[in-house]
Amino acid sequence: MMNTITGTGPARHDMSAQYGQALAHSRRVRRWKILLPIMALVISLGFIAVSWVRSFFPENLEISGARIENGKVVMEKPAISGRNDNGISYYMNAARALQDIANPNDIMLEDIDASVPIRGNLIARVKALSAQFDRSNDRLELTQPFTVNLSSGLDIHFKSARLDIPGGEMSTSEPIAIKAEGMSMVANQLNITDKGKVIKFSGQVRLNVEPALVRKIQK
Amino acid sequence: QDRTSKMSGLALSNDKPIQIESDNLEIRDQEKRALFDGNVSVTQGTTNLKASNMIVYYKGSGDSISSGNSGDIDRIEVKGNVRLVSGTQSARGETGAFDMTTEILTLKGKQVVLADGANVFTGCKLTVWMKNGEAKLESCGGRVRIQLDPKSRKTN
Repeated sequence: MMNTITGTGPARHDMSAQYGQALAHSRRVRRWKILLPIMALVISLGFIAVSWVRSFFPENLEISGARIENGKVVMEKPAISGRNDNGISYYMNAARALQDIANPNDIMLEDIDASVPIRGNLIARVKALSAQFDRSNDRLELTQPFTVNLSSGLDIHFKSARLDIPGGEMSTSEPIAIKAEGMSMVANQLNITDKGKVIKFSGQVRLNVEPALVRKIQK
Repeated sequence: QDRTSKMSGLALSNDKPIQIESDNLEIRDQEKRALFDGNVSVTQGTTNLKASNMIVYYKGSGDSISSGNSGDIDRIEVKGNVRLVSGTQSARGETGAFDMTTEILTLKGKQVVLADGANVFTGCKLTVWMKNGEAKLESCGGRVRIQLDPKSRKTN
């Protein structure tokens, strides 16, 4: 159930239609958690994403099998997987990673698919069409729409986002939509600072709580 | 003396969705608080609460999110031109607090005005038991000023 969004902002008019289909999914939710606290966690995954990209392209990268294509070193299907310290597996794959030869700090990633343990057994699944990583300042630009699905049943749809890791910040100036069982929310902008401790939604925040969740809160 | 009346519309029903709107929302997970700020409006069915800002305090032990019992709302505080409307009844005050466990809403202010149809009562503290809609307006020292609409029959 998605609110239609009325209001200013260039990309607003197609938002509800586009997000409408994006939201149509059925998932069995093992345990439902309420949106507010979970938001603080889910976004910190962004900071993990950048350390992932860094591991692809460490400072002293020796390129073995990659090929050169119009001024870029192209790495096919870069993939990384493993288990984090409490044994939860993660994987991060991309269809391609392109490193600019002239400016090796400029790295493009295409078709990203990642499953990242956040905390405890909470896992975030990220799918993004492309991301631009600037290794000189650890900044990640996700210019295309992407989604973050949390194993607790919460999905966040971004139209774009900027991540500044040293600054511990993630922000988007385009509408975001959050969907979880019993709840949906939209806002015009999102700004996360202090490594996820403060999450600020601004601009026409609309939160919709379904009766089933209201009952759950009341118990 | 205190004024007791029934604000039936005010009972929090659990079969209707709640919409919350505001200009901004800031979640401070460490402090387990969510601050809705700017034109806050909370609507459920015919009941609507408006205020300048609203703070939702939620419980959740330790690392609330992964420990699973995160997100139980503890209490809600509203401030700034608080208006509560439900059917023919409405109430106004400066600050309000809603305790989730006792489901009691209190509205305070120099002038808390409770209007029931055309009858208007003014006091300084309104307590509403949201479970059954029972409401009590206290004068805290001063007199509860009552302005009854002559036409209205004795309603309750």
